[in-house]
Amino acid sequence: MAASSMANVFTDMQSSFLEDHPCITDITYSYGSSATLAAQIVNGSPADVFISASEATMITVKNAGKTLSVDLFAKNAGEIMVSLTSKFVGRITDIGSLTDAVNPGIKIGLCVATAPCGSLSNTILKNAGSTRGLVADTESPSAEDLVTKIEMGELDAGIVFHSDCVSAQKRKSSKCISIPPNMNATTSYYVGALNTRDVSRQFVDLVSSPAFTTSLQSKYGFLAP
Amino acid sequence: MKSQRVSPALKVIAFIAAIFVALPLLSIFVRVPWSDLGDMLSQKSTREALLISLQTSIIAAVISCLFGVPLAWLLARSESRGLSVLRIVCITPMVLPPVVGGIALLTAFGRQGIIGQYLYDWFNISLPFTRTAVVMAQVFVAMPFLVLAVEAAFRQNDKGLEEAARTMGASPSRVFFTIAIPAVRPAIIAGIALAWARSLGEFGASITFAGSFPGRTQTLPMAVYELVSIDYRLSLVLSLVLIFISVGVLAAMRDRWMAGR
Repeated sequence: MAASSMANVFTDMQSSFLEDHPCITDITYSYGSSATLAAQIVNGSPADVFISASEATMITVKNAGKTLSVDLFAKNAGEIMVSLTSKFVGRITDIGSLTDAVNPGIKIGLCVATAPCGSLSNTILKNAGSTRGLVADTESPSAEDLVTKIEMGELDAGIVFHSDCVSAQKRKSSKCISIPPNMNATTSYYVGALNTRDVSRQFVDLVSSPAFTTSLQSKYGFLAP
Repeated sequence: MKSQRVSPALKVIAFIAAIFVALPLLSIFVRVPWSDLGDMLSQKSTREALLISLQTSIIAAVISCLFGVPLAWLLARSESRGLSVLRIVCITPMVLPPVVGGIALLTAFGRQGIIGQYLYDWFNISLPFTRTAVVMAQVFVAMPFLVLAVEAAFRQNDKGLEEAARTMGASPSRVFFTIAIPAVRPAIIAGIALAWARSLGEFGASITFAGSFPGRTQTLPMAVYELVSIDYRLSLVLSLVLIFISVGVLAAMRDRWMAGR
């Protein structure tokens, strides 16, 4: 089970991982908000590995005794993602321009506050002197859901993970507007095995390997752990 | 004598079926934090979700009635070809997974949608993620229930009365309003109640098309879903509210569905 912001990474590396590990015939991923996944794991979901996009959600799983050791393997920051189909594309320049007061009729999405991307955007809004109620028109259950709605053009913009915006920019669907360092915040990505199976350990080893973390930074826009 | 009509083996199976349905519902009653019930129900987020749910579902039920009754009349009385296809299309949302309905609504009325793009480009109307979108999703899934109930009633109606009125010079619309409608009033009321209950419980289509934002588009079922992983006790309380409303609808309609009991 993995944070939805890791979805494109694991989709890309699926075939190479299977080639390197001939004993593993298939990996099934379940993506979602780390908070939702953590609740599912605590309630007995039969997953092998949990990859969270925040420390808090991994602590939930650890405190429930579902995993013994966890590894920090990456970090992520926030960024404003603007749909290229949006009428407001030239008028969104910073956090302040996300409000209806500045751009009447603008539709903004944020992740729900419990999801790591949502708590990240809350911190950023607080640093910028704004609030969720002032900005958001809808709350997405997960980072992936928010990115899709912006890419579809149903939302004009939103605060997403830097890595998700980098990928969306590569797909030429959106543009990214960086948030000044004094307002931005980061969240930490952890990986933990939920059982003692060999495959679980192998997968955790891979995710926490230097090669993987380096490629996360160079190819996907994650930050060093 | 009467008890011999049902064999013991069937009784056991029937009992298991009944328990399977009743037990989960009763479990909510057992686990609801009764002592904190007042506090939880008076929380701002709970009140907001309840109000949005009541408001949107009542509007959806009224719209379903205003548009659904004429549709039911058309389906029951028109002799045009292709009507059976129209009927199937109109009641498809009843069996469609609601989330598919949400995607369909987004594809039609979203900003990039087939109709929605013109609404947005020409009139600057953006429907997704608004309370209007919540109502639209509810009408989409709930109206077919009303249409089906009312159409069946129209069909059972004695056509003789309508024909007599027509031969005496009444216009088709006069026949519709003064003869057909009064005759099916119980079915219309049942249809409204059914559509209302369905609207109130609507989740999949609305969360896809209207999103979920507390105080704006978040209805009770959306709040319940979100709370399961955050505040389980509060989600139980909201579930209890929805159970009460559903049971209330059934009780109000018992004459219709439990005839003879």
